[in-house]
Amino acid sequence: MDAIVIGGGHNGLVAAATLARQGHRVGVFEQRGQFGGVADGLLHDTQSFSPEVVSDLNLCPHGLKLQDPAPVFVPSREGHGLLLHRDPDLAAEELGPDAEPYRNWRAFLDRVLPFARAQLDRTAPDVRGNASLWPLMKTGMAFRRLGKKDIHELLRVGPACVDDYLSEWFTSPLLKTALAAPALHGTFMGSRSPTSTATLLLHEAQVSKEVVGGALALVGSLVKACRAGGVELQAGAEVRRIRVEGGRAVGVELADGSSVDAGTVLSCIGPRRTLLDLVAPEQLPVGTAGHIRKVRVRGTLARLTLKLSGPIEYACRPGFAPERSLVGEHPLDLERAFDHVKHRRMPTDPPLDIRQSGGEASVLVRCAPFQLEGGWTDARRSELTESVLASLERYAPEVRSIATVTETLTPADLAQRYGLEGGHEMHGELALDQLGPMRPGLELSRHLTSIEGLFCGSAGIHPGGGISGRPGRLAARAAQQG
Amino acid sequence: MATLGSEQNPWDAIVIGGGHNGLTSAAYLARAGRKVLVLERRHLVGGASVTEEIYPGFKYTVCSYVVSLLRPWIIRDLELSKHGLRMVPLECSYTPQLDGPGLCRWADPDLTRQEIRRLSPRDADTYPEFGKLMGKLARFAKPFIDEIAPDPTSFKPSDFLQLKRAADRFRSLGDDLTALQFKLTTMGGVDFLREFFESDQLIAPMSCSGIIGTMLGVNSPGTAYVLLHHYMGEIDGSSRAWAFPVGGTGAVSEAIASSARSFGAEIRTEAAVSQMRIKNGRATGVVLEGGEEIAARSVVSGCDPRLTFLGLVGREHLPGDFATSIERYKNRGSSGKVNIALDRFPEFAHRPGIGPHVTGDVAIAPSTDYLETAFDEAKYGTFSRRPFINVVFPSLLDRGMAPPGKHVMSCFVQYAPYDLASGAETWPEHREAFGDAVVDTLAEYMPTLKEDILHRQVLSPWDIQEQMGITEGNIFHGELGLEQLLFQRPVAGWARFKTPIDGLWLGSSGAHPGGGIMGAPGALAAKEMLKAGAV
Repeated sequence: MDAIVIGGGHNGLVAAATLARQGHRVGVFEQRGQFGGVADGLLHDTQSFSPEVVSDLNLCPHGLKLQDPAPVFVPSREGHGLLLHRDPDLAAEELGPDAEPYRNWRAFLDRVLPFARAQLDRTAPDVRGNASLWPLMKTGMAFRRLGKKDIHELLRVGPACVDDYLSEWFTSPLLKTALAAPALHGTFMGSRSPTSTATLLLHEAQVSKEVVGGALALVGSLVKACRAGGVELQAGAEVRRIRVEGGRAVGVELADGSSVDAGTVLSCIGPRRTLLDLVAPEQLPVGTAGHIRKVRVRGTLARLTLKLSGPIEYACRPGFAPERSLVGEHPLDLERAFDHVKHRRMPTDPPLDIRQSGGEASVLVRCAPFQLEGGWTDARRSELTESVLASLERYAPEVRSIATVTETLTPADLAQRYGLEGGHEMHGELALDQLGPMRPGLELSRHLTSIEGLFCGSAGIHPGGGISGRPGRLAARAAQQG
Repeated sequence: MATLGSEQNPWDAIVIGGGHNGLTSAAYLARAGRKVLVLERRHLVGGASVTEEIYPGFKYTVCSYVVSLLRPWIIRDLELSKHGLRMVPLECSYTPQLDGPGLCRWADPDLTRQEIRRLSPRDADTYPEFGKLMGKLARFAKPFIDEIAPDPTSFKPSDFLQLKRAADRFRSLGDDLTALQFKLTTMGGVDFLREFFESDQLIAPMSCSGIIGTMLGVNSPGTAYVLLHHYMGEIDGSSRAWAFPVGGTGAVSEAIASSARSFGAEIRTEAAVSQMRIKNGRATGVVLEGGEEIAARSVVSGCDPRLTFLGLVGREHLPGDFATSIERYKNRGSSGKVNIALDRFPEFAHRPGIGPHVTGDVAIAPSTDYLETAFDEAKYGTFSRRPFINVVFPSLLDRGMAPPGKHVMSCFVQYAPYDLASGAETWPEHREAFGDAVVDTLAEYMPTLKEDILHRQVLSPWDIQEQMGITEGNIFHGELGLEQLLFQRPVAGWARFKTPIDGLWLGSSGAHPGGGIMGAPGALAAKEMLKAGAV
C-alpha cells in the first residue's frame, strides 16, 4: 500500500478518496464496525461540508445531492416563535423590525467571509521563526484588501462576546439565540464569553449547502468515492501502533497483531491519541507530548434519539413540524447552560438542537459536561434524559406522549463509542488559541508531524470544524507534497 | 494685554480633569514652555487617585490604592521624587483560606517557593520557570505601553516600521514563546495558568489580575494577558513590584501637580467644565458650569471617552460613525471600593499577628470556583454575595495614614456591576447591603473585624460615577478587553490621542495604553500634541 489512513470518519474517508484520486493505493482502518465517525448520525448538520471537497472528489455523480440549509425554528413561550431562513428575503416576514438589520448583516458577512473561507480551505500559515515571511505577508495583504472599515470592524467584534455583538445589530432575543447557538458548538464558551463572536464568524464562514439525506447520505457517497478509487476499506480494524523506523513512518500494527506496510501514514483520529497512544514516546521530539497534552478537549455534547409516533410540534405554532429547531429563547439561556458546564453540573432546562424526519428525532445537548461532578453513571444518564425532556416539554407539551427515547449518549458514552478524547466531537475545543496555526500547535497545524511520512488530518487539526472534510483534504494534500 | 484665557489671549492648552493623567499632560506641556490650565471639578486634584480624610484622623485611599505601572520615564521627566513621591514596595501577597494557612507569595522568590511547596512540589519548581517565561514576554510587550499603538490597517511607513519592529521582536522570541504569547493574548487566565500549575489555591489568586476592572470572569477568554502586568511593573527600577505611595495614591497626584506647577502650569479646583466650546468643528476652549468661558488653542481631556465625546462635545459635533463607536464602547464598571477605619488591627484567624504577611495585599480568592461564582452572580445583575476582595492596610505601610494604634483598610471589591438588574440608579438602595457582603466575607477570615470597625465608606460603581465623574464607574475608563486596546482604544483609527474634533485631544485612561496609575496616556498625548505642533 502507498498510504494508510487511520480512522474512517468523514475526514479519513475524504483523505483516502483524495489520495486515491491521485492514483495512490490506499487502505483505511476503522476501529468501529461502520464508517463515518461522528457523521454516522451523531452530528446532524452537514451544512459546513466543504464545497471544495465536493468538487475535488466529484461527489455529485456519486449520488450526493445538495440543497439550501433548511430554516431553523426557535419556539417561544410567548408569541409565535421564529422561523429563520438564511436568505434575508425569505426571512424578512418573520423578522419584522430586525429584517433590515438582518439583510445588512448578511451583506457584511458576504463581504468579509470569503477571506475567512479561503483561509479554511488552505493550510494554516507558518508563523514559526524560520519560516518564510512571504506567505504570511500575502495573507496579510489579502486581509487588508477587505478595506480599513471592515478590518476595523472585524478586529473590534472578533474578541467580543456574541451576545453583545448580536445585540448591536438585532433586538429579537429569538433571532440572537438562533444565530448565537451554533457559534458555541465545539467551544467551551457561553454567549457572554469573549471571543465567541470570532467563532460565530468562523461558523458562518463554513456554512454553504446541506446534504440531502443528511450525514448518512454524505458518508454513503464518500464511501462510494473511496470504492471508486480502489480504496481498501476495513471496518473493525483497530490500529494499535504506528510503526516508525529511523524517524520515518513505515506502516501500522493492528490490534490483531498483524502489520501493514506503507510509505505514508495519515492519521484522521484525534492528534492526542495519534501522538500519545499510537506513537512511542521516544519517537517524538522533546516537548511535543507536553504540548499535545495541553490541548483542551473538554467535551460538552450529549445526544438523545427519539422515536416518534407523530411529529414534534410546538405550542406556539400548532400544526407546524419544523425539521430543524433550537430550544432556548434568549442568549442568556445559552450562558446559563454554560454556567452548568463550567461548574460541572447536570444541566437544567438545557438549550437543545433538534432535527426530526421520518418518525425519528435527534436531540443534541451542548451543555453536558464530560467532567460531570461525580462522574457519569446510568442514574446520571437517566437524569439527563429527564432534564432534556423537561426542557423540551416547556415548548412542546405533548412531547412525552409522542416520543420514546431510544438512546441517550452522554459525553462519556461518546468518548467510549467514538474514541473521542474528553468526549469532544472536534478533538479539541474551538478557541482562538486552538485555531489556525495553533490548532493543535505550530507544527501539527500544517498536517505534518516530526515523523517523516506521518500526517494528521482530523478535526483536531486546522481548520477544525464539525462535518467539514477540510482537515482530511488538507492532510491528503500535505501527504502528496511529502 | 488681555487676560489669559480671553478670546484675544487664549491659553495654549486647557486640561479637563485633574486626575493623574490630566496632571501628567499638563506637566509635560508646561515643561515644554506652554501656558497650561488644569480645570478640576472637585476641591482636590487626583481624580480616582486621591487620599481623603473621610473619617477624622483616618486617611482613605478612596479609589485606587496601589501603584505598579507608573512609567519610570515619567517619574524621571517630571522629577517626581523631588516633588515628594516616595514608594513602599509591597512585600507579600497573601491569600487566606477558611480552613488553613492559605498562601503567601513573597517578594523573596525562595520564601514563595517554600510556601508553594506545601501545596504542590511540582508547582513550587514551576513557579520560577513561569516567572522567567513571563519576564521574557513582558519585555516583548513593554514597548507597546510606552509608544503609540501602530494601526495594522495603515499604509503609513511609520506604522509599517513599528509593526515590522514588533513582528521582528515577536519572531526573535522563538517558536515556543511565540505560541505562548499567542495563548497569553487569547486565553482565559485560569486555563492559561493550568498549563503550568496544578494547585487551585495558587492559580486562583494569580488569575485575579485578569479580571480587575472588567466585567469578565477568571475563565473568560482574553483575561490571561493581564498576568503580564505583574511582570512589567517596575518601581524605582526593581521589576515585578507593586508599591504603596507614602501618603496614599493621592500623593502621586500631588507630586505630579507640584511638578506641573513648578513648570508654570495653573491648576484650578472647583472648576467644573460643562461643555466644550466648538466653533466650525474646532475646539476653542471650554465653558464652565456657571457660564464662564475660557478660550484655549487646544484642549486635552482627562475624562473618559464617553463623557468627553457624548457629554462635553455632544453627538451633533461628531462624525456619525465615531459617535456610534463611542456609544458601543464598553465602560461597564464592575468593581466597588470599601474603605474602613479600624480601632485595632483585625488579625487573620489562620495567620495571626501583624507580621510581614499583611504588609502587602491580601486577596480573598480561595478558589477559582469561588471567583467564577462571584462573576456568575454579577452577570445577571447582582453584586457578588461572596466577592473577590483585594485588601491593603495602608496604615501598616505608612504610619501617617491613621492615628497611632489604629488602622485603615482599603478593600477593592469585585463584582459590583454598574448595571444592577433593578437599574444602576438603584445602587444607593443596595450600597450598604453590598458593604455588608464585603464585611461579612472578610469577617470569615478576620473574626474580630466587625468589632474593630469605627467607620466604613462604601463606593459602588454608581458612586464612583457620581463622585469622580467616571462613566459607569469603570476604574479604567473602559474595559481592558482585546477589542478596546492598542490601536482600538477608544476607537480604531483614533488611538493616537487626536480626536475628530480639531484641537481636542484625549489623554485619559480611555486612550492607549489604558488604565491604572500609569501616566502613559497623559504623557503620550502631550508628546503627540507637541510633535504635531498643535500647541
